[in-house]
Amino acid sequence: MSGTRVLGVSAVVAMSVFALGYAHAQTADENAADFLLMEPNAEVVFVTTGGADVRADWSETAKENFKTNFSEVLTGQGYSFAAYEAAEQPSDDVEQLLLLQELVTQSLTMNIPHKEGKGWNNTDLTLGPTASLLKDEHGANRAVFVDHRSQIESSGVFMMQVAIGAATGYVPPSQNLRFSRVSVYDLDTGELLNTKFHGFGDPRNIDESRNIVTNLTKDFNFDAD
Amino acid sequence: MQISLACKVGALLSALVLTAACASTDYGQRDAGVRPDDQSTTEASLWYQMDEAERKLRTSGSVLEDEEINAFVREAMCRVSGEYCGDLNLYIVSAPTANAFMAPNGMSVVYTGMLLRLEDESQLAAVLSHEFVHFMENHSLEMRAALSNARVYGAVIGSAIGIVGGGSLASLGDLAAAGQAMSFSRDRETEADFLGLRYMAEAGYNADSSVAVWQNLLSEKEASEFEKSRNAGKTQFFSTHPGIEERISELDLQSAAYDVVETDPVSYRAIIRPYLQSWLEAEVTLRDHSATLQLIDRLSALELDLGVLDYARGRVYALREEEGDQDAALDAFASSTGHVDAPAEAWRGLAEIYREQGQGGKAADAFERYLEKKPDARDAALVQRIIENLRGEVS
Repeated sequence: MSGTRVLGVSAVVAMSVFALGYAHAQTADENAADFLLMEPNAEVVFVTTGGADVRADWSETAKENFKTNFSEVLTGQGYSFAAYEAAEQPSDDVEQLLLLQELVTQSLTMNIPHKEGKGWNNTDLTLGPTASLLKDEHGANRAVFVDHRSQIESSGVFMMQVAIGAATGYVPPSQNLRFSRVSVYDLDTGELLNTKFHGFGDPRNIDESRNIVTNLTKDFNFDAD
Repeated sequence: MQISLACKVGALLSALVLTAACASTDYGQRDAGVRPDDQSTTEASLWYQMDEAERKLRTSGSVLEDEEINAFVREAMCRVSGEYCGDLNLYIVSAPTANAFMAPNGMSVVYTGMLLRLEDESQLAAVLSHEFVHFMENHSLEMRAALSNARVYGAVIGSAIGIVGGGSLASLGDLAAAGQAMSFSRDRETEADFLGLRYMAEAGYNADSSVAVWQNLLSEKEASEFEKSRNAGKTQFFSTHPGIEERISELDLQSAAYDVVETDPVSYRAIIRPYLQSWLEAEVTLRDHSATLQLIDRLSALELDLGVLDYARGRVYALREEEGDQDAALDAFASSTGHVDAPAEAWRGLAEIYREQGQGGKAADAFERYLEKKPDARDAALVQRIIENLRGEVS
């Protein structure tokens, strides 16, 4: 490749980079907050000998703890943010967008061969341009979504497992489960910018919740493009 | 692996302790206007989950928002539920399903497939008051407790069978417990039938209408082309509901205690008329042709909306394509076009059959009538082109 041609290609690349940066500067509203902290989507299930209940009190506590701890993290990292507050009568479009986000979160851990990430962290996903509804309503450039699911076994289940094991020689596996995920979306394009999960911790406890959030946000690039 | 006797006895004792912890299945009647206070309870859990399900339903795009029909159904719901009316949130869901339900948080769902099958307001009240009893008597909560107990009993019985050496038969415990829970469910359905009958009668509706609802559903079930539908509920041991014949027989006996009230099927038909064609079309596409024909015949008995009903009948025959069905479809579409309420699509149905039969002139005429009736039809350009071709063929 001749020197002139190298120079020409470099110029095109540089112009492209400039153009991308310019486009981003055009879409990101400087008056808007850096982030919209969405209402955490947390479900804490109590597994008893008689079945499983989504515990209303535990799930609500988990949500509050996540809100508190993520607010601290974002503030600590110098970001401005707005806390999402659902309208009295949310529009169908916004509600559909939030339901879509739940499905996208589920898709993150699916094996979708044509997507990047291959299984645990599919990142080539988007909420689509309707994500801008959140920007319009709440004035933020990006949104932070937090998803959590726990299954917590009762002592009765443990006793039952011991009893079944003693009687039959087969010990049923534990149903305890902890799964938390943070995802950041661009509210202009709807694109998923970054996501990370963590598999431990009890979000009902404020300190353990802080540990979960610390682990989720450790080395997490909130500014990822 | 050898397991000592002491272990087995210990296991059995643990199991007995667990069994003693089984929940009560009698929650009595709920109070009007009350949400669960204690958020740690199973009831709060059910409400929490149902509130979330309701949020999703509300924005699912499948809820019919027509004010008139919602007001009509809500009024009937309030008449049978009295002071509980404010606890109930009605959602009419567009789906060809002959069903309705009330969730423990008051989310009340009536499918358009059910509204289509009802013949008057009293029949609607029969459905709503049955579902209201489930809500008022805390049946979801009681059923949750029964299932919970069944799981514990199943594990205990299974373990006991394992202890005496019948390991491979341990799942019999689960089977017996599941059967018990289903029996509990059938009892609650029977209670909802009887109390529902009383509430609808006290609200001034015709109690006999509850029998008619079930008779109509039974007729359709018997006419079904699907074995699964015809056999539904025949295995009582694992059925959540009593058999339809048994319910008809019991309701017939019970309703005799109440005065007969005159019903008004004409007014009811007027309420659902704007949706009659689209609801029927949804039924037709299920392709349970005999059951749909049975439904259409029954709805035709009122001698109203025959243009729409004949068109739907023609659609069934046209889709079924059995011997003689083309002629039957032609007759039905032709009959439809003779009524003032004939949908434009009836002419298109006629045209398509004429075209298949090689009667180009008649097909073109019928297609033209279709476009006259529906100039903004989505397929107008295509139909216009077909007409031109057909005219070219015959000229």
